[in-house]
Amino acid sequence: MSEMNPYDSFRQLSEMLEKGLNGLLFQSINNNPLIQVTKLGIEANSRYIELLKRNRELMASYMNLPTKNDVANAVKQTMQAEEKIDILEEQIWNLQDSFALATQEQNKVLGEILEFTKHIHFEWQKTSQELAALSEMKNEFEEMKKLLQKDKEEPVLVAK
Amino acid sequence: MMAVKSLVNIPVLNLESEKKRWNNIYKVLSEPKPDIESTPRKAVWKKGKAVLWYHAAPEKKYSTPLFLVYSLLNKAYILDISEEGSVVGNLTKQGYDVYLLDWGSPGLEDKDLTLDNYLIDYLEVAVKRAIRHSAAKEISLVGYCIGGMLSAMLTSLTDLPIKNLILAAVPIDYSNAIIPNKWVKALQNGTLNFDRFADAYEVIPSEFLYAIFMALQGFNVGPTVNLVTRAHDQKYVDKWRNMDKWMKDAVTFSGAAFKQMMNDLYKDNKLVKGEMKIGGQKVDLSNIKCSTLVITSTRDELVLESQSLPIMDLISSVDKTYQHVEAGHVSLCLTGQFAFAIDPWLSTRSTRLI
Repeated sequence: MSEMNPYDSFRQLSEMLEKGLNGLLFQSINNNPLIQVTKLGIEANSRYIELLKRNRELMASYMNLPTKNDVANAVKQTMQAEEKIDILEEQIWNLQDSFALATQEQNKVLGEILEFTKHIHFEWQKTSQELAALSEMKNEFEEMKKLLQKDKEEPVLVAK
Repeated sequence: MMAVKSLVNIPVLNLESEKKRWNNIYKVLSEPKPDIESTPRKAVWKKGKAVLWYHAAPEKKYSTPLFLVYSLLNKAYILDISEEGSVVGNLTKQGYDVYLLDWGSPGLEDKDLTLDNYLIDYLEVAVKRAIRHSAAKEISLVGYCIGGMLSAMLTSLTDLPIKNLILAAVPIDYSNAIIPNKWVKALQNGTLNFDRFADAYEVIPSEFLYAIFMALQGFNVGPTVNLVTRAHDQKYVDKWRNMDKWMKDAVTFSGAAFKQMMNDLYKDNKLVKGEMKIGGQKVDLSNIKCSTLVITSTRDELVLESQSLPIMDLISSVDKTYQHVEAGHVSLCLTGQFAFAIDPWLSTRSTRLI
């Protein structure tokens, strides 16, 4: 805002006053008697609350009424159940993780097996080709053998 | 209408704005407190009274999410007080996914909750769940006030992947406090003891905590004067009313944790001495090795700078930064300024999404 705010000086003044008063307050409460009084106050208040609690529980037990304590105890059971579910959930995470890891490992092994099978298949093809070539060679040998035998027999006939 | 300055420099009141001003003040006095509109959020996990909220970034820029831990002694919605200009609102706009742990207000059934429970059963589990939910490898932990103290303790105890640790207005050293020195001494030598008080009440009533906060502030006419001064400005009045609601909306506190805080921290100052035990394990702040940012504010009316500073020497982080910003304990959060204070540091230490 470009215009002058009529409350600005009021603010500055109160800031100064606040600072001064707080300094004064700070110094004035820095004394031991006040600490002793506070101590007594805390003690008295605690005693009073303890008494009140005791009477409350007593009354409630005579009248057979549940108190806030009973409700709190019931809630504690629920919280325990909640904690157990959390633990279970974390265990499921671990299972999920190990499953994921196992699947990954399995995939890796499967991949290796596939690769190996392919290799074997290739080797197999190669071997069968070689076998075929060998069989052909064998057949040719057989043919040659037959021809040789034929040659052996024929000269006898010629001699006759 | 412009106000006209008279010759003797007495400001002439502008009727229009005066009408607005007093109308607004009348409204503030007579109308019920406003409803707080939070940034879009989803509850990820609930336990007892605590809720873990997830605020997704509209345009996510970093894969490392943020986990905010607020004080146990106030309500966490100060961080998310409006969609515009709140800490959570600004952080999500900057591209961070934000998780916020709201401790809730304990009931009688929670009277036995100690700091150990808050740390191990609530905070650690919540951080674990946030990491799981975000599917991130690491997380940045941001603690404010007592929440900062708990975050530091957790970081030193846990093996969860905490990448960055930010502690704002964090009380670590309790050898001094904002109260007069004779009172500090009375707390330290046991003259003032709250054990019986905590046992009697079981759960410390919210009125008691409210009274303590009011007492710590002394004469506190500042907010009221500010309202009167700027009541013609609707935006300011709306903000003021949100703040006013939060200030008067105190929480209860579990008696066991109250006793523990009074005895282990205010009386024996165990955290700095390395004697604090959580779940049977000693809290050794030198276990903190991640990047750490510690922020204090100049006009902090609840936590002294000297209470935060010792942590800089206690942690073993190589990458540690200390920042002293111009703000107050509450206003740092209220104005959302906190988000801008941490962003330059945090953005260079968060994993960017490509």
